[in-house]
Amino acid sequence: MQLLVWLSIFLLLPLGTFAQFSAYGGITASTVSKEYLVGDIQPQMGYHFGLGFQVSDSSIAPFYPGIRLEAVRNGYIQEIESVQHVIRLSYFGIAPYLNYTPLERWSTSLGVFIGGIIQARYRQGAQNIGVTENYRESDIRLQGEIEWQVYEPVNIYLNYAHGLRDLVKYADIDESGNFTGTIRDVKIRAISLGLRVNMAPFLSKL
Amino acid sequence: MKLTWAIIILGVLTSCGGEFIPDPLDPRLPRYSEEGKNTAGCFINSEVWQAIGEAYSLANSRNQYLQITFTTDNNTIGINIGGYQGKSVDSLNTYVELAFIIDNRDTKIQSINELEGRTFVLDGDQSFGRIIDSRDFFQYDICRGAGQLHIRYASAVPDTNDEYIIAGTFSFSVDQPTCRTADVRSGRFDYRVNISPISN
Repeated sequence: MQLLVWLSIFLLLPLGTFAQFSAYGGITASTVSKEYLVGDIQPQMGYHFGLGFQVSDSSIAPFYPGIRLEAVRNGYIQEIESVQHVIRLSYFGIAPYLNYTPLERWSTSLGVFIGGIIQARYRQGAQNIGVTENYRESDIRLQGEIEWQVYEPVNIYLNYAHGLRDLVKYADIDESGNFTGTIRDVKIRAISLGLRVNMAPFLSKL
Repeated sequence: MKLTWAIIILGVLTSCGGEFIPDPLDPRLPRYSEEGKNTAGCFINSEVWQAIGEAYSLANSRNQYLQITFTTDNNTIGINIGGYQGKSVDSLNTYVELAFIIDNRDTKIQSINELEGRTFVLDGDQSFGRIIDSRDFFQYDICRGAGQLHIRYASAVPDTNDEYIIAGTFSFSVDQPTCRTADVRSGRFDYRVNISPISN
């Protein structure tokens, strides 16, 4: 996690001198792909927010590289015998991306999110059990996004994140009590909807 | 084997509360660990059985403790774990104790450390697992299950005089004509215990 923070600062400091600065946030609906998890998986609602820095040099149009600092809370619900086991995963990370702006008000971007886990919480039915240690410390997600400028400086966006890393690495036990080997499972799938506000007009007034 | 528990020279009891970390694949059970989390879990037939350790009290035997006993003649080792069973995790309302009786005549194990890494075959006769069900006390002595008990970790806690962590996995089946059929599977336990000699 410390490495991520320092990496973010290292990347953002030079970028900040010629970048468009934005703040954003919204809701996230997430689920997981699974092979070994027991029960039915249902989506979990969460949220995300962050700061974005995007190169604004018009000479490189219509492609603009950028990077985001993002906190995201997502997870999934595992329903077994009508009891919901709710897993909430909180991450903080960086998301370098390449933005493509073919039209004045429309843009898309593709990038990756590299995040470290802040906390994993577990609730069993109505009972809040607490923090779990079941999830790996980091995650990597491929992200695609489409964005529409509602009016200057507000944009609305839809983002899809496709986890590339198994979040669970576990030595499973069979019904007889024997270890069956290491199992890797659970990849995040998340859709986010949010608003992004370009901070340049506000900053220029300062 | 005649089960004589008149004199017990050593009791090992849990000493503090449990920390339930769910199994990442099936959260009805605690994750297998070797850290002294004071938890245990398994399935008994299709129902969930969970134990989240609490302070042991002789005055309150209906507790979620783990107890190990070595008999004075060193012929038998007993491991008892108290927990609750229910149709699902939000209805764990029946106290059920799991007991493992290990024939120690050949192995002559005398201390907890010596349990580490051992797999005990429960033959359903000299060594066995049993279910002590508050709804069905008559099964206490007669219904002996066959299966296996792995003690995967049994070691002293550093910088303590009398504390140990003991963890393992288990499964057994009771299938005798006069007994209710029971299938205990996916069992695991992880307890931090302290030695407390008991004699009577």
